[in-house]
Amino acid sequence: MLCQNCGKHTATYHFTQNINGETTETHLCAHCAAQKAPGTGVSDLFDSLFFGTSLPRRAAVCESCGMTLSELSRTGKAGCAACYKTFAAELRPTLRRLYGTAVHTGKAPADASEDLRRKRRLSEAKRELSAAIDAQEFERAAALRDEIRSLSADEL
Amino acid sequence: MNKWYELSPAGGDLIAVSSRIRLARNVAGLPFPGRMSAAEETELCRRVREAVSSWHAENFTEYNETTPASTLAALTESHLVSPAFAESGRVRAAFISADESVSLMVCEEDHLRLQLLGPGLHLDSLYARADRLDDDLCGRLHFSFDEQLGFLTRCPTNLGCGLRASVMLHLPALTESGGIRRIAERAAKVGVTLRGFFGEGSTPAGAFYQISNQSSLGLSEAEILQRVTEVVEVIIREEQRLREEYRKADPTGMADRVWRACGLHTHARRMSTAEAMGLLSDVRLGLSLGILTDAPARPLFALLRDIMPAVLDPESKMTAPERDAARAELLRKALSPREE
Repeated sequence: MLCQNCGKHTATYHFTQNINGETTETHLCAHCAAQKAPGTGVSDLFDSLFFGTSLPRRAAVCESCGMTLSELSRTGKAGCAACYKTFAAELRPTLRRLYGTAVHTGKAPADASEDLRRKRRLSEAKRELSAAIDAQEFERAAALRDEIRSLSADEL
Repeated sequence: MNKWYELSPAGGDLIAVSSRIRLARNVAGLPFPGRMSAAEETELCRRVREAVSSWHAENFTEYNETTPASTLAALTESHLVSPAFAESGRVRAAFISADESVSLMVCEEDHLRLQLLGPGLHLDSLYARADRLDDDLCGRLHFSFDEQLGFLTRCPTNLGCGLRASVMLHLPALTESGGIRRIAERAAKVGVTLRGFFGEGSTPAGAFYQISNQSSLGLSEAEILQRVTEVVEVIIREEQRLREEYRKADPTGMADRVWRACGLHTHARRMSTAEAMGLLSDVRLGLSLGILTDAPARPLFALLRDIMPAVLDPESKMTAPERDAARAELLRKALSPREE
């Protein structure tokens, strides 16, 4: 479906308005939705999700990309990788709401440090071990136990 | 070369339509898209172009800011680029493999969005392929990564593995019974989301849904794939059970619905996208229940793509009624073997 406003782009925002029992539907593309109906875009939703209604308290700027705290809170999106360090304190409640106390346990890029990759594999192997024990796959569990032992030895 | 959706089996599992793996990655030392200069965007596109030129098996075609809007619209409808990518007026590039199973978007929300598509429910094998391509890219481009937060992405909701694993399911019985809502609530509790045909924010059309993981921080890739697969398998069993229930309760009603869809497909002279999707959904249901035995030569999923407005009319030359007529003709030819 094409946007009812510009007629060029695919409509990805669908609004239903009910006034005195009369329902009207509007279908807009992201660009027109942002212009026509401020406060209804996904980023606005994230605003309230991430930062509540309180305004940012300090006027910080990311030295690496120039992102300001107020822009970050408005868009809910980082400007560069360094923003995650610059605004770590402000982002912490947001990240906690999204992920609890979880940390990354998945893939590490091949160019990450050897130590990091070993740590990752160690925690992965520990999880696999408990799964193998639950499933009574003892041969696999023994192999994993050996791997964990050798990975832990490397730590010393 | 055959496209991936043309290879999808006509028979077999007709509930799981397709699987999709998406990885979000950003190159270290560059600001994220949105804060990049045009020169940085051009340079990044060049570096990615150089990287993918060595992937000979994929045989990529590049689409960029010089590509006509109508072509980008067709790529959006084929799920090869995102609506946001097609709409941005900035420098960007998308590399799409000849069989359309691999797409790599540069300067979308993140520097790189690697996507792999395949028929049926096969998240593991698709991910394995994506992982290899990701390793290769990482070796050449060096990605932003944090020990605690994983791959750093523009939106905090994509942190961690930067992975979205999704499966498109055809769920007419669950849609009709309203059970889909209960399923969506239950899936959300284990971090799995149900979305419409075109992903985020879209409405389900023809009872096609995308099932995917909500977040990818705190779980490994294998755990994410397993969780989505498990939820998908539960939903498939529930859909199968309901289909049988409906058929037993009113066999004539079910057959009537399927044959009506066939009748309209083989005789109608004008058809809107929404109507065609609804009817193709009924034909698919008929095939899976054995009410229809002759599957069309072209897989239904390929037909679903063929009938999209921009795919049907890539040069935007037709009026809406002309497009509806072309759509009806295409379906008549595909679904009635007797007609020329």
